[in-house]
Amino acid sequence: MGSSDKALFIIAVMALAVAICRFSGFWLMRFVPITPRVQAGLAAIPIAVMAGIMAPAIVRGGLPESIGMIATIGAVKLGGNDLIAILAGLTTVALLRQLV
Amino acid sequence: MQQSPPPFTLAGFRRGAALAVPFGASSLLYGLAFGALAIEAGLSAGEAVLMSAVVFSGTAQIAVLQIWEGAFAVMPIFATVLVMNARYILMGAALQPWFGPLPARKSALSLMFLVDGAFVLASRQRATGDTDAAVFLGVGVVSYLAWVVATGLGCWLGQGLGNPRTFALDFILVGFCASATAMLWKTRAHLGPTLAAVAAALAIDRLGGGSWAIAGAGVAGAVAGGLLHGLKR
Repeated sequence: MGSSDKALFIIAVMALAVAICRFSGFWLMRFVPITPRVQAGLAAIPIAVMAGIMAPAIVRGGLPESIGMIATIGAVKLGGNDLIAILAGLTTVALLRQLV
Repeated sequence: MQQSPPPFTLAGFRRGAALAVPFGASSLLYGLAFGALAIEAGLSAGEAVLMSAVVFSGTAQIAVLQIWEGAFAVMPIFATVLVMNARYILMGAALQPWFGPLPARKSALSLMFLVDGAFVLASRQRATGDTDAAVFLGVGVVSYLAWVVATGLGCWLGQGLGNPRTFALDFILVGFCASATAMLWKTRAHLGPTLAAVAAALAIDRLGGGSWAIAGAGVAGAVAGGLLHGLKR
């Protein structure tokens, strides 16, 4: 029971956080013009967050994860859509894990 | 200056729903992966589906699974969801000129379904001259249904799958990040914030605060992006 209560509480916290993100920009724009500097800071967040997800995972995962990431980026650069690129990455990592 | 509100019609909703269908495939893949990973992380199927239904943010949900076990890490989870969805703040701001003149209940309902796909597809549709604001809601609702149903399917399949690591399902978030970064990377201006983010994430991870790594990377990147703005590019 305790663990389930914990799960429900965390889900509620997540819902609150995502709601703040969905509504705050729209709402703030009524009062505050977002300055170019603020805009630049907000615009930097998506890639920064993704780099922050990848870096520890790559360091911890080692070779399969590193090559999988390169394969994914390579597939994007070769003009694949993101779904195909991610599937290429998943396949690469799964195969390398069998070998290592 | 009060503009007249844009149309908000059932026909627009249907056009949006039709636009969203081709993107159902990727929604489905992420939903399946999230369901399977959630079961592996120790959530029940009911909890996983409930989370998809009330949070509706694939990347944030998969990221939270990585810090789910262990300590009662409420603040890191709150901060992680906040930074991972901070892009919605920008998208919401960008939607103000379009949705602003709508009655509040219609704009609020639409914003509940704010996800990347809805923002991108509806903005593209609007650029073609289709200003019906319900297009956005149509895209959002179809993506939402695909996400919740796929989560349930993933939980069900995941129980028979064994360890998702065998199929590298745990790589899906890193794979998503790699492909999205490759697509979003347009200028060398991304380099500074990205280096700051990597340094912050690795430092926090090394110091044992792993559950804060993603949030810390987002904040470091935002600060670096703001500080570096206007310097020579």
